[in-house]
Amino acid sequence: MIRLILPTGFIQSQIKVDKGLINYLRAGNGPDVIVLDKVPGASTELYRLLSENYCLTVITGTANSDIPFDSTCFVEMSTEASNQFAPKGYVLLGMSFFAAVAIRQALNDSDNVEALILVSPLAILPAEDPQLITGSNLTDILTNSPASDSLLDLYCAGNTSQLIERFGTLSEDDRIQDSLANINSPTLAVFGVEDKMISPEAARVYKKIIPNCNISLIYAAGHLIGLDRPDSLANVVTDFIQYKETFIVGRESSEINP
Amino acid sequence: MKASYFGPMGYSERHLFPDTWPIPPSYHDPATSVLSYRQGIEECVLAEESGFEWISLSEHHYSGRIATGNPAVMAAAVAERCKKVKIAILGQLLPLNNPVRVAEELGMLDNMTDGRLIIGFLRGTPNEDQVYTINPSEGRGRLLEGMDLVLKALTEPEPFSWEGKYYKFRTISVWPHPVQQPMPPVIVATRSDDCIKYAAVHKLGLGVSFVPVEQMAKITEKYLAWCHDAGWEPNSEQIVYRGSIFLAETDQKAQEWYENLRRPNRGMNMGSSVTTAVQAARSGEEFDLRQVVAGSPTGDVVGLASRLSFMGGPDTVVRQLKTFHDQCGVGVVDLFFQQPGLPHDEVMSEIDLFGREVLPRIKEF
Repeated sequence: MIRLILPTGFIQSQIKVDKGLINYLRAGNGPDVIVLDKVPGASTELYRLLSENYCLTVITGTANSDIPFDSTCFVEMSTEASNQFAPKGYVLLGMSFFAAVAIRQALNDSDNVEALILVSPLAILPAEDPQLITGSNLTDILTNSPASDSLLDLYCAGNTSQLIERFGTLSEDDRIQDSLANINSPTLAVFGVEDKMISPEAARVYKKIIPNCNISLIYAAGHLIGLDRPDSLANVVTDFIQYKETFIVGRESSEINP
Repeated sequence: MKASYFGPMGYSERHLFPDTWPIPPSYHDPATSVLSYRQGIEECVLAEESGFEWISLSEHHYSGRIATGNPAVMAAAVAERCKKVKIAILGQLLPLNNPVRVAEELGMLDNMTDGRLIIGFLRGTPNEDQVYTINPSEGRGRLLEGMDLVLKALTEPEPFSWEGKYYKFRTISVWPHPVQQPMPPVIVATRSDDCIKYAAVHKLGLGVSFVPVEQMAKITEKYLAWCHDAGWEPNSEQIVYRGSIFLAETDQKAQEWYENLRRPNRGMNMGSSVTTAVQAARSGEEFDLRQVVAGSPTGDVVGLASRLSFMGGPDTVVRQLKTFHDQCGVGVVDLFFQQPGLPHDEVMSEIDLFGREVLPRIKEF
């Protein structure tokens, strides 16, 4: 298990489920929010913000290297771990590649998933081919922030080649697209306006197929919204968790001189 | 080269205004104002009949010299009278406005004109930051985000929410979308590098106002280089220059008019403390903004006599316009005829003369 630099108050540990061990980070108090994020190092500020209001658990993978993250086995393990963490129900948030896992988990565990949030979801492919990703342009594609030498290490936890391989093997999954219509949790799909990994066309697919789905666009954010605009992402996620589809109702006072 | 008639809809008694901005509403006489708008529209109609291919309108505030605080309202009226020309809003002051409202107005106008709309985005002059009490230091950021948001709102087919730095909307679903697909032509009116680069990267046109030809050439050189870097080349209608003009039958007559009109430059009269505060708040700007006041009689944007871009008889003006075409790649020239003190009938005569003696020749460029 790779040790991450965590915000104050977070623990990093493992929980045993039927088929193995699940790695996770955890902090905060309040309603349960389960996040599925293979590379949480890029979103630590987001998680710190969310942990101020919620009991936040970030599932980062398994201790079993032979279980692919997009396999049915992993979905079952993640679901079992989530039920142990939050037996009374939870909000489920899937980041990037883990959005596909979150979708499957939301379908399998619909009684417990109170809301589903997909952030920069790579669960379905846009019509256009994804960019050819190499080590040299990876930073530019992932983030709208000025490139930094440490970004790749931050995001990939030191394993750049594995990440490039994973991007390269991304393929269209018709099964997931077809199953979107069966999601009955209120759903929010969040995209960065500058995301170079996924076309805006993908947002329209989620909106059209998922029965109760809202789309949120984060300005000046690339694929790693949690790195580029953690405050904005935390705001919209928090509002959606609290109000679900009625998060569109304005609640901020515009009164200047009460 | 194409010609665009800039319709400022100036108040006909504007020569009586004080050398200040804003112009106090006490100067407003309803009957004169009604007549001024009618005359302004008549000028647009004659411009269309004379061969101008665009009519442009722009947003400026608190001054009867350009009396179009809401250019979309004016554009709708002009479009009903002028049925062939492109209706160009050059432009709307995005930092001041709700971008969703702007997108809705643009969508309506493109439908009402059956696809004759040209969109222009503009930051506005420093005095205008005060119109809706915008922090001048945020104007650039609001413009850049506002352009992104308007373009998204006009093209996105599904409702979406927007979490910006300056704008937050939880439901955006603009109706109607433009007739012109995927988007009407868009001009970014600017002289600043970041917005020139924005236009190039987003494959949008460039509009520049009132700068000398040497400066215009430097700006378009940068723009074309950045377009090249972005993998495209703008067409002739994507480089627009707005300039003031006085056209007479001969150079000598133009010079006589100019000598009679010229007055001492008393500088900007927005209040020196306000001027200084605006300049400080817009720190990092490339230009000295203290003389840039839309609607003032002496600023470099409108209403001045001291820096005409084009002046003289037809031969001279054709030559001046050709310089902008040849040295800067300008394909559309947007002309401001309503000079200070120039009555409506003389503006009409100028438009007519331009249509007869100048337009046929510049169309050959």
